[in-house]
Amino acid sequence: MPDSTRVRELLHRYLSARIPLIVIRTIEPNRALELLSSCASQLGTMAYYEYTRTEGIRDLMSGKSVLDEPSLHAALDHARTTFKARINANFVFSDVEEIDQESTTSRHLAEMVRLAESHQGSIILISSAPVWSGLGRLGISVELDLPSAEELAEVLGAMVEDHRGLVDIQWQYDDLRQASEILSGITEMEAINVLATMLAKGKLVPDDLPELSEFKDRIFGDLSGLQRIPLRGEYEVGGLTNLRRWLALREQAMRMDLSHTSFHPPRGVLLVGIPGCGKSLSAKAIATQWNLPLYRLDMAGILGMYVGQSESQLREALATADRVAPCVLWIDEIEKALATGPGDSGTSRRLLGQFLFWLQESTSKVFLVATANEIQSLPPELTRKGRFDEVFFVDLPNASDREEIIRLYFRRYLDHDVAPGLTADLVSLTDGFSGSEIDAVIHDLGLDAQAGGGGLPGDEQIRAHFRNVLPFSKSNPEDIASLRAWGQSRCIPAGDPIDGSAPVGGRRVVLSD
Amino acid sequence: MSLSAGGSAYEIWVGTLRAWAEDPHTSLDHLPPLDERSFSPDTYSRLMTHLVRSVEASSRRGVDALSSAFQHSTTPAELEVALVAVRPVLARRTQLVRHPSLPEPVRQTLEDAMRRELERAQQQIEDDLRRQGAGGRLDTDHLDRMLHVVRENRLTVVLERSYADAAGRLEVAPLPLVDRADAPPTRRFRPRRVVSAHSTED
Repeated sequence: MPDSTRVRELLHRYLSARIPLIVIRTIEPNRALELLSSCASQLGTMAYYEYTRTEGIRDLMSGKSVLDEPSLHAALDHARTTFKARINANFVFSDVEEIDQESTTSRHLAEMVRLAESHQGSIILISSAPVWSGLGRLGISVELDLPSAEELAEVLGAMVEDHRGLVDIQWQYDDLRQASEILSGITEMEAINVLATMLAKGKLVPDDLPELSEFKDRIFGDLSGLQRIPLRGEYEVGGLTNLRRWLALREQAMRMDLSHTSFHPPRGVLLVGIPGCGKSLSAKAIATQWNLPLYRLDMAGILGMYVGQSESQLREALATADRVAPCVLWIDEIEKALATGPGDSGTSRRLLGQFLFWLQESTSKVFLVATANEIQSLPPELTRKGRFDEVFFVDLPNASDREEIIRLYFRRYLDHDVAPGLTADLVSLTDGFSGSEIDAVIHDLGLDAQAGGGGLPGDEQIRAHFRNVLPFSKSNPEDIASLRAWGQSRCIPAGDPIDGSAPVGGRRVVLSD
Repeated sequence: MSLSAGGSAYEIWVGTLRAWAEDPHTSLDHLPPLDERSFSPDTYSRLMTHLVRSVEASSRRGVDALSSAFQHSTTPAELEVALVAVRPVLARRTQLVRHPSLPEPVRQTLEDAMRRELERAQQQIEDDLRRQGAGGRLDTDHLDRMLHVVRENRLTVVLERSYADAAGRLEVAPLPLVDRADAPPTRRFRPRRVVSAHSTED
């Protein structure tokens, strides 16, 4: 969509060409009027008047009142007289109701446009909705998109500079640019409101940047289809060296200003692997590490019961993601909605097409972290190179990973370190355990300890708890083998192979609050 | 239509008023100044009677135009168009009652009478709409919007405007006074300045 510079150029040409009706589609009438004022100052031989419900008719440039009456039709009557008396008059109307369909107002306007055309006049309509085709066909329409990050940086930068000396401002150029990127997707007025609210604290520091996302969420209110995930703790992903190395490079790309290059922002990753191995945690860790808000798209929740409802809800959710960008978008168990099969009446295939289109075409900084457990049901279109930036396979934790996880959860739930003699036994006993299974066992131990007065359970009791658990990898070895076989041929290992037994590399997730 | 200015002041006034009562587009530009002392009391009284009759004819036209406006307006937009369309009819009366050739006391009396009449008509229109609402012919939302239109396009506005021609149209928008060729683009927003406890008013 054209940015404001392009729109200004177009408006200049339309006004010069004396197009009798110019429709500016925007939700920001003030920005449109500003562009028109800019054009008017260059095409100064013509007269420009603006009508609003609150002010009546005013001279566009001087703001001087011409007709202090709120009635639209009185304003049109006034315009009629002026058009008849003078050539090259321009009347700008905003906030006009009932012009999206055939109505008394739209027909009246159409008559006025014809009158304007016969006197080289122009009517400029600023509208957030499309106008009735019978009216729209008499002129030309142009869409003014929300301000780009660069435009916001200009506006916010001016405001920040205006407050230097009055407020303790520690933002540098990069902070301002990042703030503008975070706030892109909202109107100029909303961005000014957010920044003014931040400034009202009395200081502006780089640590304030995450707060901008919260303000943005409040502006959007109900984030249709998306759930904001609060990142309270400090999530840290250990191991997964390949993934971490790859992410470090993408983090730079997410922060870079790519608007004047031919590069697109990173699209995201697909994490497949064994259940409970921290794929979801990785999404949280990435958002935390990159200082971006995390939103979850529940694919199962997208599915609706009526024809077309699922597609509509997915479209809305993805549009919302574009608006809240930059962000990390976490899609858990992506296969739940996109797995295609003979029994789904085509809905999944349409959802897949819609999703792939968005993945391909979206230029907003939405970093997608999709996870999948039932990888066999993933359609091949989704995993081919070029869709996601990369597909990583996350395997079971190896021995050293398990030791670290055991220590972590002992400290968290039992408030103790593992006894030195016990560690090796537990590492051995947890062979084939996923991180979440280790978490669950130690959590139970902690609950038992609380119920028993808070004392540390005996070593034998601890061993017994682990022995009593049959991990998923043992109960479903064929599933694990199948997952690994799939991953080996299609994915990059998320970590470096350590145990030799692991076919596609090990992983280690360390969660610490 | 323009009458010859060849007759006496009385003849010109009476002829013009009669013509104007029939055709409100009749020009009033040539009417000579009236002065009570120029006429005998009877003559002046007869002239005032002609004036009042013409004003009453204009008033009837205004009432007819308003009635028609209401009969044919079912939506707020239609009503707004109709109310604006009535203005030229009412404006012609304004042009007569404010005619500079009339003595000031006469002008004031006629204008006061016109204002009272328009205010009464405005009230009647609003009452009529409310009655329609109470009778269930208009739902609350529709009633509110119609009332809003009627108030926004109040009839007395014709007394607040100046009218340029015999058609009773509003004046043409004035040409800009400033040379915009070198004017900088206008910012729509005043720069926002955060207010602190220590801020002072400029």
